[in-house]
Amino acid sequence: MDIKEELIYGKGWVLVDVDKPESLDRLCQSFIHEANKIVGNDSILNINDFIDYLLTLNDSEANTLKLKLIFIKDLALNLQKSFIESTIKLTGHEIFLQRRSHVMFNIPGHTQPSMQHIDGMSGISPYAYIIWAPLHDITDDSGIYALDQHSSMKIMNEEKQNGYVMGNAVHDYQFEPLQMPYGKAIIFNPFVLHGSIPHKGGLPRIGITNRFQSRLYPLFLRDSDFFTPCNI
Amino acid sequence: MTTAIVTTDPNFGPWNIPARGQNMITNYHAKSEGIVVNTVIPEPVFSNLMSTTRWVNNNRGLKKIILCSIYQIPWNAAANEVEAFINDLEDVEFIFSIEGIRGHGRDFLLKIIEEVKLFSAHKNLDYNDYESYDDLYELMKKQ
Repeated sequence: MDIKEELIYGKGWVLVDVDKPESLDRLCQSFIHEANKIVGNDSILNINDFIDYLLTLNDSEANTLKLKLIFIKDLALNLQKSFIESTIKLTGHEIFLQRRSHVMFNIPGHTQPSMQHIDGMSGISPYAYIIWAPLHDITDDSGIYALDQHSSMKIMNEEKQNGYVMGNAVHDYQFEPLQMPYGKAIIFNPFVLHGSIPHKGGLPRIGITNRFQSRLYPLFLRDSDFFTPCNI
Repeated sequence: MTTAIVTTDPNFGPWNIPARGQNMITNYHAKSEGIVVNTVIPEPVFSNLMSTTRWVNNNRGLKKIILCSIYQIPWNAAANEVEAFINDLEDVEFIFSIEGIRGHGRDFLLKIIEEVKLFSAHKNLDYNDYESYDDLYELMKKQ
């Protein structure tokens, strides 16, 4: 089954390898460079320094930092270019790309970084895809988890009977975060339940994520506020 | 030189944001970026050429203007009107709160206009055709 079939008719998510490692490395270097400017003390020389720095932040400080990091120029484009072959197979060259990548931290001892959800309930087009990549090796349970789409929609429908989307059917489910080396990414459709759990590892985890879709397909509620047209 | 928030007709692009909402969005954005706002320019409903803003700039001088969205500039006006708009405001910095982008100059404005044209020409799903995300899920499976 090819990547598009797997995403639409299969389990709804796939793990992919980086196509242009130099682009991902450039993304990381740019990330560290800009993070250093934001933090303002020239002490962050590599991703491990940044991971150590995150340990010093509380929830609010980490959230403020995330909001600043999303404005790093070309983060979204470089992420997509890093996984360009997978992107082109799914969407072709003319895409709508998320204007700014989301930077996601999972810091031990902090509250749940990303509650379980499907992107399809947030106004994103059903034709969009989500890509999530770690900026370093993930060898513990700090990473993202993703259910297959059939289980995801079964759970969401159980919740919907009660008129909400994050009740017991979701919380009772045992999620298993993915362990992923640097250079891997997960791509999933908007109906895959995903999130991350508070973890017991010693170090914070950093991931970045984009939404993207072909310009041949319609958008839904998310428009110029969220996407920008882009040729890759 | 003045920094102004510009409010327009509530209907622009896919949104309908009343002037009070536009003021809240743009003022919050200004505050979060440390921008001091000097005045508010209310463009009238049914207008789309930003003529009031252009008059203020030509007579009093504007440094920055903050709008909610790129859809609020005259992207669909006649070519001569677009040209006049750019000539009048190309030295003013534009800040668009919803899209989170800013810039100034002819090339910037032309690029923004092209982007709005692309979005406007693009077919979006009609909210009224669907009742839940289940419907959207079925739509995805049918592609």
